[in-house]
Amino acid sequence: MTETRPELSEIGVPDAAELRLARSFATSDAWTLREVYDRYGAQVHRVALSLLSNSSDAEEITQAVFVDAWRAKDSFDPAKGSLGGWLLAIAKRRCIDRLRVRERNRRDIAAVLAGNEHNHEVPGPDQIVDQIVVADQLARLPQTQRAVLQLAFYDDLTHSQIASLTGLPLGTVKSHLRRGLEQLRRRWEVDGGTS
Amino acid sequence: MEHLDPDQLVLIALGERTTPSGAHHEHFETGSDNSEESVRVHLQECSVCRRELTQLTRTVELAREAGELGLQTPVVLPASLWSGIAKELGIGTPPAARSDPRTVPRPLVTDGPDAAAAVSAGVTGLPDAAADRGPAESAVTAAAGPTRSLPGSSRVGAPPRPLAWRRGLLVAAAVVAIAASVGTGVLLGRPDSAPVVAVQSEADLMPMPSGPPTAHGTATITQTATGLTLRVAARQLPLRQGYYEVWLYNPTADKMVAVGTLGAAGDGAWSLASTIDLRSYSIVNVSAQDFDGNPAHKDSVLQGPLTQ
Repeated sequence: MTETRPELSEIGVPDAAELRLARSFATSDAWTLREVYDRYGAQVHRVALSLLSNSSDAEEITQAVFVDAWRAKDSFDPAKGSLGGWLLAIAKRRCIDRLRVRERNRRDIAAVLAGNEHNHEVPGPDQIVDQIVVADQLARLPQTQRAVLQLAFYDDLTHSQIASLTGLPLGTVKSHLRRGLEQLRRRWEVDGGTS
Repeated sequence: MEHLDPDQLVLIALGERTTPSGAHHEHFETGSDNSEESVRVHLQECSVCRRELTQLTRTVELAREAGELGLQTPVVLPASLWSGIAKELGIGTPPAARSDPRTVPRPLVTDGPDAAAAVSAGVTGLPDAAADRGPAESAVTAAAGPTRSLPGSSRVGAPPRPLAWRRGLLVAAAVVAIAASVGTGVLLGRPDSAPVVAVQSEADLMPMPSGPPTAHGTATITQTATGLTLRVAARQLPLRQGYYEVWLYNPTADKMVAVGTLGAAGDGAWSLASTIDLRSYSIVNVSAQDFDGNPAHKDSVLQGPLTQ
């Protein structure tokens, strides 16, 4: 038993580069937009692709999100939330607007908008955003931490099985699992669809 | 109130403890204090730990759902996407090419640390390779076999195979070592200062998972009087002990050729052999290498597809 929780400040999400981008975004130049695009473009595109299931629509929406974001950058307040969360919220809104325009797909819209409340087969926009931010953070973890988590997530190995498979000490495996999972959780809380 | 051990909560969230009762003490080397029953009782009483476990469990679910949906596969955005954004906002494309004086492409220098890096990248570690330089394609194909571990050929989404994350790297390293040694045949030396005729193709270089997330860059292929030139300008690549190597990657055949080493400012320009087919070798890749005498492709830090 322990009396302390891990300090969130130790977890490194959001990292220093993100915080710098977020703080400078409102007053930034085009170069910063390019950095923002490099950092979040893939996630925005992925959200659009997952919600719209059409690559040309997804590219169009991704472009629109960064154009919107740039034009509205004065309204971004880093004190109120993360830059990633803000961009993904714009993406989600844009996609929902696009789905509404697709008259012929009324039933699909109903299914998507209803989300997991009424239909467990079709994940809602928030859940898709959550999955994407968690997957993105997993890909950003240090290699060993990521590999250990992948063995736990996708191969369903226990920490002792991972230790014997990789040759890492048991304590090291547990520490990778905890630190890695805390980073994913923090990312989800910071950038996720309901943040 | 004392809280549960964070490690223990993580293991529970991962599903290591599936039964609500019964002792699985092999998972927890602690004493009876942490038995299943006491954990259950604590969770009933402690809203802090309960919330902690709920959030961790949801995070595990999201990661597993993402894996099932193949969401871990790296996304390479088409270069046209940024061009579209830049055009609509009237900010030029890419801004680096205009505003940053460091982006002026420089040919690879023939002395100084860059040259040392180039020598290390191309020659050291494989003393026999130069004498035994066979046809690139057959050598790489034979060595590659069924393994597909090179950048861009990610199979993420599928569960990682046991030991693959250790052994796969060794196999990939061996494969790319051969690609690197034969790949030097493509490198004809520093380009002449012939005037640029036309940009034939370009690529936006995006950060790869094993590289710094803010890294980015551009690659251009220009046709000059003397042939094709590849220029790479990388940014936000931190200085490190090793060096950065530029590669051309053929995603269909899963083959790579080494092109050259980036200078300290992240720039480089190289003449390409007229025989290389850029429709096949369509992806520009930058890897972080160590000065360990091993020229094999190490960690991808940047990558992007050339426009066709």
